[in-house]
Amino acid sequence: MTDITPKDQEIAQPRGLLTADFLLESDRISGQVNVRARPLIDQLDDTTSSFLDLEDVYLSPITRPSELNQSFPAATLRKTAIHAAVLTRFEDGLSRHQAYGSYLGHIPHDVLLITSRYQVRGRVVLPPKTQLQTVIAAGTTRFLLVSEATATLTEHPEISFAGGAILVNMEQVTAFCETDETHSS
Amino acid sequence: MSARTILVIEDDVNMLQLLQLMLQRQGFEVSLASRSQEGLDKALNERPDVVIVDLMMPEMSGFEVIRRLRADPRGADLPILVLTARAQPLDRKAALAAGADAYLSKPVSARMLLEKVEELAARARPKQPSHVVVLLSLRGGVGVTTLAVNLALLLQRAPRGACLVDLNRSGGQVSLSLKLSPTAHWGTLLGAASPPSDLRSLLPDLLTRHESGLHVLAAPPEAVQGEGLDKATVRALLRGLRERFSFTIVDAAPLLDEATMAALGQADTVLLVFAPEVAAVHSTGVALRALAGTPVERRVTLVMNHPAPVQPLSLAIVEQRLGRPVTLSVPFDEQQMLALARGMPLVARASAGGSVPPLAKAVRDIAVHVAGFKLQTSDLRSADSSQ
Repeated sequence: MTDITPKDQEIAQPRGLLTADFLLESDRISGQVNVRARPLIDQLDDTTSSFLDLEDVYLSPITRPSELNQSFPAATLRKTAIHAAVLTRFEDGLSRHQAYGSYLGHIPHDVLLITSRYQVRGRVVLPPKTQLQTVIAAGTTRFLLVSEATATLTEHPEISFAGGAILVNMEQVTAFCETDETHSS
Repeated sequence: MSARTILVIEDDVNMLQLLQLMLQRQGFEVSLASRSQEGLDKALNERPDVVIVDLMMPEMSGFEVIRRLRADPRGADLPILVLTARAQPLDRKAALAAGADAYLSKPVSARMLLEKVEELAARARPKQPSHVVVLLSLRGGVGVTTLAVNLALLLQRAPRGACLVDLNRSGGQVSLSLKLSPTAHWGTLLGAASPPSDLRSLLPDLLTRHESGLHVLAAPPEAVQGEGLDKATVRALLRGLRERFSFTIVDAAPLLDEATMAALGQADTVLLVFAPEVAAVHSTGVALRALAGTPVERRVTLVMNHPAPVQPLSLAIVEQRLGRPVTLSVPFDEQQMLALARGMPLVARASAGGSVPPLAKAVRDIAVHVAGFKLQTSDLRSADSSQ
């Protein structure tokens, strides 16, 4: 049996709750999503619901993103209004059908996604021979997982958010650019 | 040796319990607060060795808790560790600018958290008293630097000595008064990250030692164009100096800029210096009104200095105009000009022998007012030993 000393514990959010930053047109909303039943991206991609429920919610103006102006025990976000969701850890961005490492053999692409307010730079990993255009055109998912990503407020490039994963709302994306040669993995 | 105490301010009760258990296992005494105001009160009254604070709390954010702690002398030197789910670099920067010493974002390993707490507890505030005195006038030429230099030389006799900080941006006069040619000054911090992450290790190299043992954080020798030091850096500097010295004396610039306001926020005592002439009394009134209603207001002591032999306003008129009593008065001392020219302040001359100049006696009164019980009477008596 492995000896788990107290020092090996992880100090994290309560099990089943995921803290994320949701970037909207004018606001940064930080809150907890209940992911006990389903991962965040699966909830965002669920077309049977237009809304996402949050707990322990904090509101900041996007141009002053460190200010905690208002807080609420709970809030509901309209999914279409979300430009991107920033997650600290990559694995928190995966869907139920994916597992960490399931991308083995896939091809990473360095990309830039532009919405009306943000520029998201990072990496998407696609099966071999997948054309980037099909990611937009297929429309199978609303949100795209971009790893090792940074979302920059276009009008204030000094304001940026980094995450192990950023889930980008494809409905908000106006341009999707490949920024580098394809990497082989 | 008593156990080190850690105060945890966190609105998530489960997280509080987890941290309590973990810290107690490591031998810490743990104090808990699930509400911001409760945590703020506990931090100021209990003065723990380390404060762990969350940022996202409903009634008052962790940023505000930190700012309020740093604005109060009782919390100015408390080591503060932010533990939060907000992982963005801009949040880290904002927390450090507000006055936090360290920042960890969840998820974090317990090992890393404990190492950080141990590190902060190890450099926790000195148990010996430490006092920050700011001397300020919004009008130049009323003798602020003279009083600051002499006061610092006297308070240097305290157990852990004193440091004199020259915050003036126009080629500070402190070095001139002490005949110092410092090679280091705070100007090297301009343009650096705020506050510099390695300020604690940089601090000794920024100080110049006077022959009396007094340490000086000098101003740049040439005029600083644009802004001087920002709030976060001044706060960090003064916290670092509190750890090293019994007294930190700040010769503030004659304006309420960021650096001055940060120093005032850290001050245990503010000596508002003026000469009994119309313009100086007017600017003192302006300063008092600017500080009215702030925590700084109650720490202000009025000091009437006489840099010239004849001054037009009487004490009664001055007090009437300012609407409050003048606590300390410094007489004109004709030897002051010579002392300045020689780079030998009058307090230093008094120690060296000979009669005690009037200004040195007045500075002793100021020292007693400032230090109160914190300075041994014998330390102050040494100023009289040559009488």
